Amino acid sequence: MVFKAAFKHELLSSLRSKSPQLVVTVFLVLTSISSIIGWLTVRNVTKIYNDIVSQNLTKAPNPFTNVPSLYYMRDSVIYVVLIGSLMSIILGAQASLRDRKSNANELIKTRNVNLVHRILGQLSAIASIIVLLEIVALLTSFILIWVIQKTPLNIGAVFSLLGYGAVSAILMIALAAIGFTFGTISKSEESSLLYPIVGWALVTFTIPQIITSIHPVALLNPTPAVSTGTGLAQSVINVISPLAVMENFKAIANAILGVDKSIQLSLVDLLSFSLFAGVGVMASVVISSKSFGRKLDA
Amino acid sequence: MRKLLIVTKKEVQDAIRSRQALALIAFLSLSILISVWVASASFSIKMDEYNLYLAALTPDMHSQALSRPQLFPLTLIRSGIEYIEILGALFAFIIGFTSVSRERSRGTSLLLLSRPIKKSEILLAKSLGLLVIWTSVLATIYLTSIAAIIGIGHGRLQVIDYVRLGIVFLFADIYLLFWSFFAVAVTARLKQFSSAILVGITAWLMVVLVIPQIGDTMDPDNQVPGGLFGSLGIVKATETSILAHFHSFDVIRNGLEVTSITKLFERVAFAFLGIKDKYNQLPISSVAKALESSLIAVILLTVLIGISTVLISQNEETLRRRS
Repeated sequence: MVFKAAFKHELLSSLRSKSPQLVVTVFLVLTSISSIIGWLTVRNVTKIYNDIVSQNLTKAPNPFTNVPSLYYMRDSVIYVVLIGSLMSIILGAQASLRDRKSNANELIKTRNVNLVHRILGQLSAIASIIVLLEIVALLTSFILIWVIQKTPLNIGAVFSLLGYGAVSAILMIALAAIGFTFGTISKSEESSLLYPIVGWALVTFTIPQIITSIHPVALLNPTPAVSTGTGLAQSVINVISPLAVMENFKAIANAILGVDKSIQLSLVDLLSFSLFAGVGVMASVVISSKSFGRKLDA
Repeated sequence: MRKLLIVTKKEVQDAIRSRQALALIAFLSLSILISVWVASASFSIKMDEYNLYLAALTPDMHSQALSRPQLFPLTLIRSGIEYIEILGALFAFIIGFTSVSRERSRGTSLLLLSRPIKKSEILLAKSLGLLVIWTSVLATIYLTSIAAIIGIGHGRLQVIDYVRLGIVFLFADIYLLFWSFFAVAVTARLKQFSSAILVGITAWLMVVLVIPQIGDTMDPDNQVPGGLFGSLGIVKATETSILAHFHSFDVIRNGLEVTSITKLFERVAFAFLGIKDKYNQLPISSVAKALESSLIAVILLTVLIGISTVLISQNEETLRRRS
């Protein structure tokens, strides 16, 4: 009962809320058009390659011969890491902040409400919105790749697309749960957004840099940069690697989409990613229910 | 003038009390230290590989050996510059946002407005305060960078290197001021703090991360690991002549990149530090001339956003409203 009411209320409030609409629009537009960006680039590089071949300057094969149909989606993986992650943190934080700002928490505390059920209801509503957005982005990509290739994706590619969508949604739901927690425990509205965003930046840029020596900006390029390593002992790398959640996500997503044949789906990446998502959501429910009712600073 | 200085002083004191400036210095210093450590460790690995390669050569092949990798000390802080580009901009937005939101939520803006000081003077003083905060933070980071390059990277710096680094940090000051001014303008203009934060984060995301990322993705040489031309065995001179046939695509790509102040800052910083090969070891005047348009664009954008901030303050409700 509490779960259902919280789910319905959160769904309505989130859909009515105007504030996150800007970032949601950016996410939808960019993930949808990522295949066009990918296609334009591949087309240009192929023209360059043909120009080089016509001048007899190389005998190497075209690097884009036989690329899979989902190759055009590789930019989308980066947009999930960049925009999808931040959008989810914002959606999660806004949901818990809404109650704190309107003092609805005070009213809820006077009732016999199961807080865990309520939080699960709210998180499920946010998860539904994220899944809906992901479906729209995937559907647009599906249609655009159909138009670009003049043929629809085959069944295998459709399953890969769905698998990629599922992994992206799991990442975003976990980040929304983390955002929700910060919205519950932070003293002010700005810190509820800024702490998780700074954490996101550390996980996205700093940890992979320490492991691989790849520069932060190069980590945003869908073509993996050449890693020279930093001389860290393998045991240390093994300990900190699971913290590089975004790199794990990129590896899993690229393996599912098959954009790079050298990348195989790694069990370690899959396990550490699942662990992050599971622990993220569970910790969010526990911490948010224990910290429920904290007041915001003026 | 005295009224201006009082508000400026208060702005700086608030930043010190809230430990914002301290947190900024700590975070950016740490990122510089990590960057220098990572880059010098990576260089050591490269040197070890080179020594192994040399050892594997027979004496008669030594004359044809590949040249020894060279360490240009200023290039060690490349990642640190990228952190300033990405996270520095986010922190700059936060500092600017807090500068207005603090006054409005505490109600001190109403008190300020009851005193004989113009609204535009308040925002001008706040802007001066932000300038003082950022200059102090970056001066500390400048010294940290030098200490890291010498202490961790074992790099030998010449006098000219101190000057190059100084120019880059001065430019970083302007770049970060842009973001703080932008935050002040957005927060002063919008009724809700949450709207200001979301508009700011979306703008940061687009300008700092998405636009440069699209530009990088569209670069033909970023399509294949190790570079397209390198993988096809094409030398630099031939690469340039081939790319001349695809000028229009490059114009679009470059046009997209220059809409981002972050990319402009990066180009200037990488050129002065010699990270971009073609500017490495060039005299400062030549680098400045080559990057003239980027330099002017960043300064102009910062001045324009600064003026907009003061103009926005003319609106009666700007500082009065509470979120």
